[in-house]
Amino acid sequence: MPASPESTSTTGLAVSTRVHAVVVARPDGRVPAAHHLKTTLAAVRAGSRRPDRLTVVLCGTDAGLSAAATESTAGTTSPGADLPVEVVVVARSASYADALRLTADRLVGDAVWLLAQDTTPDPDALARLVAALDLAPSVAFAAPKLVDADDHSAIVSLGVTMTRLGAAVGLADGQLDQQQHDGDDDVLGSDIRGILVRADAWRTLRGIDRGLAGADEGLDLGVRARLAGGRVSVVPTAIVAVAGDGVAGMPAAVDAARTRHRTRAARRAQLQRRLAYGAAIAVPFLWLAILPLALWRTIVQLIAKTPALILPEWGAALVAFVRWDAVVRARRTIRSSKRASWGQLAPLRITRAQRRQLLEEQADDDGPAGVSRPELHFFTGGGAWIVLAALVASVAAFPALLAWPVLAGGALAPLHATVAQLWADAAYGRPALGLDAAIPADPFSAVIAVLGSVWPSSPSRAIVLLWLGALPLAALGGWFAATRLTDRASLRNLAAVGWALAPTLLAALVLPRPAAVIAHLLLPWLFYAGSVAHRSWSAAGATSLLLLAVVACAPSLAPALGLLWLVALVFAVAARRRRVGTPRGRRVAQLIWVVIPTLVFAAPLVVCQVRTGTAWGLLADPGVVWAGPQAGATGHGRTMIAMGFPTADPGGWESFVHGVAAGLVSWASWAPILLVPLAVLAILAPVSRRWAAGILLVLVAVLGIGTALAAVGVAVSSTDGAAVPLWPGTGLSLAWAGVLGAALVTLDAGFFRTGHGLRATRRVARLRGTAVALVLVPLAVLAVPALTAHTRGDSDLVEGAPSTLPAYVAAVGRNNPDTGTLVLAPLPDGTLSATVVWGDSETLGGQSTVQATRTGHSSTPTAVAGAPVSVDGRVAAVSAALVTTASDAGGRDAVQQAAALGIGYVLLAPSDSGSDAQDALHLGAATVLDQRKGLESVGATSGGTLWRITARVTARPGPDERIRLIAGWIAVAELAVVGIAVLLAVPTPSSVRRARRSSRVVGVAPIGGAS
Amino acid sequence: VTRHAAAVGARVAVGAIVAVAAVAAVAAVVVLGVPGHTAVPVAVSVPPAATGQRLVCDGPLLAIGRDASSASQVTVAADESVTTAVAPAASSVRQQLLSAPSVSASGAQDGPVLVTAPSDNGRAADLAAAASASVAAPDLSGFAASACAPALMQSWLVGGSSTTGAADLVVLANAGDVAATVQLSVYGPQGMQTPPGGTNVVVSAGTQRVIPLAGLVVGALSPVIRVTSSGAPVQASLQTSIVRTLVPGGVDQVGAIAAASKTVVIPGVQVQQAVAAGDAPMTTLRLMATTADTTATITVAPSGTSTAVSRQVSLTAGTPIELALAGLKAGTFTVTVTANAALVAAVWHSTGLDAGSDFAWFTPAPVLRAATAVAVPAAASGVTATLSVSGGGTQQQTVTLTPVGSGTGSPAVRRLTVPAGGSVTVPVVPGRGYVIDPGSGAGVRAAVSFAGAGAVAGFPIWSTDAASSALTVYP
Repeated sequence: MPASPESTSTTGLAVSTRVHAVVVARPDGRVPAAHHLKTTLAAVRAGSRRPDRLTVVLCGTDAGLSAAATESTAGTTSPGADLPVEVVVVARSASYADALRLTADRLVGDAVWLLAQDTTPDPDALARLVAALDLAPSVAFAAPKLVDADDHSAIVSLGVTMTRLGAAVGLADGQLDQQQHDGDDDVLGSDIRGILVRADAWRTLRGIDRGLAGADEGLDLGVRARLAGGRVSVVPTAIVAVAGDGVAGMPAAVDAARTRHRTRAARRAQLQRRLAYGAAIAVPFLWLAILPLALWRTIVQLIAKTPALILPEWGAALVAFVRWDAVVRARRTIRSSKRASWGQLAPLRITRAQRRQLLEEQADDDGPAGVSRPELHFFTGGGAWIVLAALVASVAAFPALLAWPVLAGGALAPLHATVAQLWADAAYGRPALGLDAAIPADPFSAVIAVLGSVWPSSPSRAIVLLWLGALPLAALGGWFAATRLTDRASLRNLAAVGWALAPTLLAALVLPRPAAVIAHLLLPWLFYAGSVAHRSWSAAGATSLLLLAVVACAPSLAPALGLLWLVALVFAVAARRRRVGTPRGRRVAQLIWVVIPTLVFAAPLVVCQVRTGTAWGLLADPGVVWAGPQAGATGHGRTMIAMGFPTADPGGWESFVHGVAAGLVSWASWAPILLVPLAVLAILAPVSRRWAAGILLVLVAVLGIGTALAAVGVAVSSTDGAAVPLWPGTGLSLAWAGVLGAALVTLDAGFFRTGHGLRATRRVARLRGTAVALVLVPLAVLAVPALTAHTRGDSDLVEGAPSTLPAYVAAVGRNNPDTGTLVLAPLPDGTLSATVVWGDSETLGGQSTVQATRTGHSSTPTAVAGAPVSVDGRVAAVSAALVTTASDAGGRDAVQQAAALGIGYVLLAPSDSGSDAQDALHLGAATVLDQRKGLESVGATSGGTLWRITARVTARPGPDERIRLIAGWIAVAELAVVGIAVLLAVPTPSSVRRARRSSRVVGVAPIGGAS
Repeated sequence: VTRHAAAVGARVAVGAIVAVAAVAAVAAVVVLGVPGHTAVPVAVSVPPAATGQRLVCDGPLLAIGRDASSASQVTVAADESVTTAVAPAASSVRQQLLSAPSVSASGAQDGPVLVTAPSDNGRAADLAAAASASVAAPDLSGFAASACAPALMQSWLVGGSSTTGAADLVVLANAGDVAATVQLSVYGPQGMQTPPGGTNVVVSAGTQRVIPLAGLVVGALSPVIRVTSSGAPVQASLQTSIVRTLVPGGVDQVGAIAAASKTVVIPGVQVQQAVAAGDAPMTTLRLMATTADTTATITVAPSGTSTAVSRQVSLTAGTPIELALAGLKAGTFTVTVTANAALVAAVWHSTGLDAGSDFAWFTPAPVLRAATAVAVPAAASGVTATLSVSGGGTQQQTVTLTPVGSGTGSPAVRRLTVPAGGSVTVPVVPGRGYVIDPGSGAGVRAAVSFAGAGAVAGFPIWSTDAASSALTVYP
């Protein structure tokens, strides 16, 4: 033990305190370890007050570190080389707490100075710390001001406190050092690095709690010191610079891995402290709350757009959950040393208000904005007025809808009367149609459930609202999507009008196809969010939900959208190395998340369809299968599709002209010529100054048209015994987005750099205005037949009844959703369509593509006696037996068979085509059904003739254990994925601030040369 | 400047290539098309279940107003004689009587005969039955023959009239287990009428009900009646008779027509020579378009030859018209009516106006595509029975006629060659059963007709349910 050297302290106080400095170093495989250690040791020696003894603890043997440590002993030129150094080697895996504990028995002196390889003290740091200890005997340890090694004006830590619930809060972390805290003294705790601890206190407190995993060690030590009756003093004038990569304290959050480590350690420490500090009686409850709290914190991390930190949270929670020993040890330590009450700590804790103020101070310096984002100008730019005008046009086009409670016709059907039933249709399990025990629901049913929930008292009215709101919503979506392409109000307005007047939207409204309408309304928002999905988690979350909804409404768009996603992913991966603006890897993670909800929702369908060998059925349009008018897979049909029209009659012009001037019908096929200005502008986009955006949008257009052209050749769903081709309109919606966007790019960027003079600007503006008018006026003219179709009576849209079944069954079915009705419809070719409808009505959300895409022709040799395996065979056998068997014995069998399946009613649809075969089958069926003893005729309705089965009807079998289990897991997975997406998408003040720093327009920088 | 120019050049070149490629790709797909995929919808063929057959005959010949104290009382004038034919021959056939509460009977029979043949070992019996009756009374005389028919939800009666001397009766039989409610719609010159007497006519289960046509409509010379039933199907028929100034002019039982059709073929129309000199046999065609106005083409072709006479007539929907088919020589004719809209038709032939005359209504025959049983009812000696077979399509067909059941020992199987679009006749034995097999082809239509001194009658052969094909169900 060397004699204590003469003090050179500037304080001039007599120093009798002997200081033992412990420097813990760990080779972390990087060069700075040895370098930092050297610097630290040199700084310690060069101090105005040198420690009396210096112990270097090396975690693991490392040549560089050993050299650095021994060099310091051998060095003769450096000041203070005479300071003896003791080198201790401990296990490499030892933490800072471990290392200090292992040196505990070597401790000599009155105080121990805790240092690490990266803590470089200022020359008079130790002197001031010692002075603090000397000044007040009650002080258990004194903490220095930690500053950034690279920037001494940035405070790393200056005192730590905690909230009432125990969360650690740094008092000045990250602040700019303006000596604003230099008056502080009493603190609850501090960072562990650089503190000078009285040796007796150090022994009483038994060092650092090893259960803390490196975080909050100083805070915990301070808390325990205060409980032991001591004080903790911060000495702002004693400055220690830290690099943040040493074994002590928390590593600086410079990359993703260290951020995760910090999160895990901090959470682990917080849980450990909570269990250690809590009253004994509360500990079991605190322990039980660990995992639920982890779930809650998962939600918080999602809202905070930091999903990468969820795994560390769970890691910390699980460790805390199982590490009883650490808690017991910590509690024992506290109990043995505790002399003061917890209440004495209260004044040093941070209050809610103080913490909020602290957070606000931190939030203020988010850094300067990279790009100044201009105002949106939704109102002043005219967007709001276009939406309003579209609403007026919508009401004028569909005036009757204001009074209709339910829409029907085409692919429309009523919705269930209650919201609960709507959502039941969206879950895996018993379908609303047919005898299947369980089939995966279409994701579209979930979309319908969301839509129907808008008007809970009468969900069908939501569809009416959708129809009335389609034009204004399309305008709104188009306007906002255009903000990703241009800042010019006139062009955004062009996009709004163009999207609302898209021929494919109008066709889907007039030939009612709800799925296509919803897809068209969602596509611009998908574009709006998807184009910035790589920028933020918020956008990625929103995109993932929109993609899910769009693919749910139009599965045939999945290949094209998947291709676009792949392109985006390739660009994100390629750009990963070049760009540093967004954290590395996050762009890719965000893009990958975009497709995950869609994949989760599609998975049950994919499994089901692939297993039955009908993978093509995945492309099927959801909802009611309707063999309505559409362009076919013929030369004429394909030409119409390539020109943007999903029907063979372009925009309804042929029937319109036929009604106005029948002689001019041949001219109607020239209507597509009205789209020429738009097409020309779009095709010029790749040579415009924003050629990259132009090429991408033309690619979108080609993909969309390709999808539509392929769609008409794919017929997977069937109704009434005929396969129905896919609706090409959804593909055309995508194509329209590409064409409209490309035209916008052309008009926005132009081809040449224009002069800056007032005259040139005016000339360009005039040119642009002319072009916009040239696009808009023909578009408006083109829309005339479709917008007047409803008032002219040329639309398939009609007022519907609340139920597709007769009111009698509907009333029964409303109370009992398991009421089965066998709907028999004779078809014009003398065949029979048979459907089992459960509940009060066939509904839009109750449709299933799995059922609609079933294939295969089979024959049941034993229609009555045998029990065919497939549900289809069973329905067919019962239906055929019901309508063909006339004898009593067989007849009763058929009715009983139906009753055994849970069917309570039989509805025979009317024969209306005038076909003899249909009439004959209808008459025969009616004859036979009327004769049946087990059937009671309820009466003829507009929907057909209804019979009630008077025999006891077996209740519809409920889902068995296995189905309930599968349904439960699917529901959990789907809810979880949607929940995560929603939480990610919810904007927070900080996410909004972050978004403001980037340009609203995507891909604005003209990459190519411009003259 | 050079770099700028080069960059612009590159941009324009790349952009132009992309634009042209995009247009070319779309154009290529439009021209060439995309390979597609069309799913085969799920469909299940269900063969018809073996069912028992239930046929109801028209019942005894009835007379109205014989009892002076009760002018509307209907009494039995002559019992019917039922002949059945069943294949396979071993099948058991049951006959039972339905009751006719409103008919007073002197003999055993007051209602019609219900003929049933249960299905045998999962195979349906092919059953046919027909009845005949003959009467010679001051108010009713003549010979009537008709086929026993299945009950129907909707059927048409073409025949009869409500002129002076006519005593026509609509006969409704319900062989089912529940009561039927029948609506009778009468089509006359004013179009369709629903007379109060024909509204909600309840026919109790297992009974026959008789409704005088005179009570339904007055003054309609050539009515057509639509019978629509609910609750249970009914078998409808029309008994028509006439007395011309105390001289009975004949009697007939007219079977129902199952459905209106765009092509109506009435084979086996018997045209006879006048019984007495100076008397002229008359043949008329009554027809009506049921749903839409149309122009009908009427073709009258004698059996065995190909010399057809055709004419056109325009029809108003719902208004029956009657045309005289004048100038027909004695023989068997096939009358064909085609139109673009569904219609119903029947041919009336009367041997004359003098005493001892008889008349008959010939109704359309449906197409037979599978082997079908034919029952030829008994007839008095001197009355010959003929089976007329009319071929459709464009190719001649070979039809096999096999006698079934007990009776004469020698089963003489006859093969008939039916020319395309023509017809042949073959004599059959009254009181015998046959099976007619049209072979594989477009199918034939057939009718049985009777001719003799003061006797004429005929009825078409209906296909039985056993011959129906598999039902395709799209679940």
